[in-house]
Order: sequence, then C-alpha cells, then structure tokens
Amino acid sequence: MAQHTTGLGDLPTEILLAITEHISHHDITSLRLTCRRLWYSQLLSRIRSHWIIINHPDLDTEIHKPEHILYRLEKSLPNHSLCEACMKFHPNRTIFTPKVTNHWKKYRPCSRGVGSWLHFKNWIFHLQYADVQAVMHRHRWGVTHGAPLNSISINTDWKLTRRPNPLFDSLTRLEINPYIEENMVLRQSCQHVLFRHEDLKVIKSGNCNITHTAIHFFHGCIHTPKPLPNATRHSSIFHDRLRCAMTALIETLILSTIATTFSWRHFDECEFCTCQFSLHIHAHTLDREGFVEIILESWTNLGNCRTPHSSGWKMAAWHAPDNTRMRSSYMSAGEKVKQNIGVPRTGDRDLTRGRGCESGIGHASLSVEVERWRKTRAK
Amino acid sequence: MASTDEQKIILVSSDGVNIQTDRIIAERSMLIKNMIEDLGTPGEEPIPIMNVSEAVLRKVLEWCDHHKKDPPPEKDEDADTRKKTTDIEEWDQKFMQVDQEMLFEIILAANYMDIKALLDVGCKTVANMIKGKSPEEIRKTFNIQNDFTPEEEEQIRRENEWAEDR
Repeated sequence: MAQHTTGLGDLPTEILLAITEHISHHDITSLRLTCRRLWYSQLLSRIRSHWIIINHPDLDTEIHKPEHILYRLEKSLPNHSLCEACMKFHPNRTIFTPKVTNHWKKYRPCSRGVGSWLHFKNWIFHLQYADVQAVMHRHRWGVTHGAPLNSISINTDWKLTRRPNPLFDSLTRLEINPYIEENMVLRQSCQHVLFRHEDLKVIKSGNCNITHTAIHFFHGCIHTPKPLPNATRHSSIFHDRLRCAMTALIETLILSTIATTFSWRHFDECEFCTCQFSLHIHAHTLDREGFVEIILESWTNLGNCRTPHSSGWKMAAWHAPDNTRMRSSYMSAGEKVKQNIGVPRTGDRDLTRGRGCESGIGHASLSVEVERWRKTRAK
Repeated sequence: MASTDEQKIILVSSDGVNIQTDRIIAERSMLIKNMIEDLGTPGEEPIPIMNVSEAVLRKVLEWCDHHKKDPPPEKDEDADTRKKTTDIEEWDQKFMQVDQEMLFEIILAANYMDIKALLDVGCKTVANMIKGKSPEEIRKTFNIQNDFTPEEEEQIRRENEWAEDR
C-alpha cells in the first residue's frame, strides 16, 4: 500500500487562510487556480482587500477579480502578452501584420499600441513599442518569454554623410544601449558626428556652420524636433541651449592648438520630460590630421512598458503633435506633476556609472571610412 | 519541589513513544500548558499528544527549545505589519529546510499544539514558496493534481472574461 504523504492540499482551510495572509492577491488567485478544492473553497474566495476591511467591514467582496487572474496567467502564456489598455491577451506578432478573422467584432486588436514607436529622425531608426514590450516580458517572466535586451540595441559603423550641408561632410554613427533598472527600460543613446578640424575655422553666417550641421543629426526627445525655422517654442529652447554650448566649446577648441587629449562635457536636460543629455566634444588626431568628434549622449526613461499608454513610454515615444501640445501643457504645471506620475528622473542615478559614452575613435570601421572620405575629397 | 524551570515532563507521541522534556520548553505549546494546569500534577503523568508522531514531535520540541526564552507575543499585535512581512529569522529558515511532508506535518502539529509563533514561521515558509508563481508552477512545486475538467476550465475563463485573441 502506498504511504499517504501530507501535501499542501491536506492542510485545513484555516491554515491555508493563515498562509494567504502573507501573499498577494495575485498569488492567492494562482493558488486557487491549482485545483478544484481550492477554487471552490468559500473561505478562500472571500478574502477581502485589506483597505476594504478597514473602510467597509461589512462589505463582502470576492477577490478573484479578472485582473488578478489575467496577471498571473501572463506568466503561463509566453506567446501572448497582456495589454493593460484592453485587458486582453494578444498573441505576440509583428505589429504591422494585422490578423484577419471571421469574427471582426469578437477580435479587435488593441490598435492603440499599433504605430507607437520611438523615432530617431535623420538616423532612419525606429524603436517599436512591441519590441520593447517583448524585452520587458523576458525581464519579468524569464527566458521562455519575449526577446533579449540586445534585440533593441543598435551599434552602427561610421558612415560618410553629406547632409544637410555638403560643405561640412562628416562621419556619423549611432549607438542605442537600452538597459533595465528597477523594472523600467532606460534608453541610453550616443549620436556621434565626426568633423575635420580644419572645418571648424570656416565660420559661416547663420545656419551654415558646424554647430548647425551637428544639431541636424541630433535627436534628443519628442520635445526636440528638427530645428526648423518654424519649430515649436519648446524645440528651439533646447536647440538654442545646445547650440550655445556647442559654439562655446568649439570656439575654445579653435583657439587652442590641436591637442589630442582635448575633451569637454556639457550636461543638460529637457524641461518637459525625463530626457537628459550630455554633450561631449573630443579632439583626435589620425595620421597627422585633426578631427573633432561631437557626441550627444541622452538618457530617456521609457517606463515599465506594460502599455503604450504608460507615462514613461508615451512621453518618450509618442509622435503625434497633438499629444506633444497636451503633454507640454500639463507638464508645465511644474516639477510636482513629474514626481506624481511615478517616473523617476534618470538624473537620480549616477550617470557616470555603468555604460559610459565612449568616443567612437577606436571603432574598427573608422579607418576604412576616413580613407573613403579622403578619396571623395581628393576628387 | 523543583522550580517550574527545572521540572521535567513526559510527552507521548501518537505512535506511543515517550519523550522527556523540560516543562518550560513544552509550555511554548498552549495545548500542553493548559493540560498541565488542568491536570495539576506536572511530571507525574505522561501527556498524550494524539495527532503528532515521534519524529515531528521531536522537531517541534527542538524549535521550542531554541525559542524557550522568547518573550510572549503581545496580545494586540498590529495586524498590518504582520501581514506584510515574510521575513524569517535565520535559525528558523534553517530549521524549516526539511522535505515538504515534514514541513506540512510541522505546520499541522503547531496548529494542533497551539504554538502560534511556529505556525507563523511555517505559514511564511509556505507563502515564500508560493510567491510570484503561476498556477502551473505551484502545482509542480507542491505536486498538486490539476483536477479541473475541461468544462470547468472553460467556465472559469468565461466567468472571468478571459479574453484571448483567436
């Protein structure tokens, strides 16, 4: 005869109740979903939220609310993701391939997530919400879920670019290094632009100088769109500040003789969102020719990415101009609003720690590209 | 007559084994404490512990021995703070590193012998094993048979508007 062993199911309900005092409602729902006895247990189904007990001692509410079950089942469904906006599981799929069903009323993909991306102008780079969400899934539930962190990182080679002003052709390079801290995605990006030192001295009037050319490439956050004459008030504040800093740095550089070790750093932040910037200027010498590398390093908190409507993601990535206006009006209500929406400022962390912004001068692709650059100029 | 601290008493486990222990250790159990007071002749008569086997009783007494000098729990313990914490002190954590059957036997014994603190440690240990797991993972951890019928599963889904895209 097989010996009977005591298991969790043999515990009397009062002990199970004592155990449930130490776990969350999500955990209680998980426990109840394991077998019939626990699911149909009257006592377990009537555990109330603590604040309800305090405020309404006479109220008898059940805890197996749909959201508890949905959250807990998320872990069991690696091929689906729970959308907090519509509280439904969507199959993981490429976001631009909508699924056709006969029951169009029954299935409505959460269209609000579609087309939400973080857009790097001039770099032709988009970071899709679905991709970031997949990364967070893996972070939350383990390797059977989602995609690895490096799936949303990018590290391009140096590339010769002649836009927007052929007078100041330059080499450019983009690095995106996302990382996860306290269950939130932080996106660090480094945008490198490399000029010839001799071009620094060509001081042209108006928009026709190196500063303007560099700013053309730099994408900061949604509040720093392309610096056009008709740009919004907010964008020009940022660009004015960036331009001032860069001009000051470059003037210092022109006055000095070419020094290989020259390096300068300027720190700034967007006044409307959590985005923060650091401007680096390095002077290098390659084969007796001077180069100046300008790097815009930026940090953006993308939030927990549970929904495309979470404050972090929406602020960082939403691209509709209407939203920009709405956001800036409520953000201008002051620093307190920023505190209340629960997105810690990236500045709270030590920015010098972890991944720093390194000069791209050591990158393998540089020498090849510089050679190409010289040949183009010789023509 | 020996003082209460040095008095010895004899407990009898469910499988009929006599275990001698100090009265102060055994009195961590409210069941034994009440029995001694009712009987009035400590040490003379063996006290039967009907539902607890020898192995489990020895383990429970080991815990009582270590905690014999603990202050008695305050009556109006703040329920709020107790609920939140699942911290277990280091010695208790090591003590609870036993197989699952023994763990549940200890919890049942603590419940039967009315040792509140031990029951609490046991419940916290189980709670820590449940935390953050999906139903399927809990089934695996505790070897629970999924006895829902397909119809029942379907009904739970429907009741909870579990909407999965098809």
